Amino acid sequence: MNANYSGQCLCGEIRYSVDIEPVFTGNCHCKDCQRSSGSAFIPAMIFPEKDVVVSGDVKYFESQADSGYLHKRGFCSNCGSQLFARFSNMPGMLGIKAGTLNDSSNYVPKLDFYVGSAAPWDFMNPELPKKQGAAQS
Amino acid sequence: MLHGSCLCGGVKYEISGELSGVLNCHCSMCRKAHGATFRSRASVNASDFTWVQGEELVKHFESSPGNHRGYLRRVNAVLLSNLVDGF
Repeated sequence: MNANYSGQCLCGEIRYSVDIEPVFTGNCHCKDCQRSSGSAFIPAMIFPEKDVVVSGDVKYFESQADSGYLHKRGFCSNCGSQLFARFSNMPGMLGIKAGTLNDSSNYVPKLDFYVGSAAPWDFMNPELPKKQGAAQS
Repeated sequence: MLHGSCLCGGVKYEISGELSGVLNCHCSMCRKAHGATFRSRASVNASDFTWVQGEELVKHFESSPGNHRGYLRRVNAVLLSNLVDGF
């Protein structure tokens, strides 16, 4: 049976699959996500980490987010692709960046957050709810 | 003058000239590399680009012949693509 969600980095060194539905999906427009992705926002999915099967050597970089919590960004040290995130305020949960999905149509965002930090050229779906700051605030 | 950096601030750069080829690329390789919906990119003349600091921290991955994607080894902020032929 195919997993509900599967993906990989650009070079294929890191692969993952998940067989359950995410507990959260949303687009983060904060400045850190802009800088780390080189893009306008990061499309994020959150799963319990125990339900995510990961192969390959993931490197994590830690920074302090605008919220004050610690945010670890997981990436491939060979090709540089970003795939995962861990959050100090959500222990046991793993973020997956939906741009790495094998089938992009599996990602359905429910929220735009940190829209107060969005780039002026960042055009959003007007039908999605918006939060100026953190998703859970 | 345009200024930019990676997330941790280890790599900083300046651009003195005009940007060209400004676009969002939605291809599957850009989505994978950036973990995002698209990559936002522009071209600059090499003579207009200056490393302020951290050039030695940038590692390149050749995702297809001639396209060297630059990223910071310790942070993984995706910064640059050096296209041999440009576009």
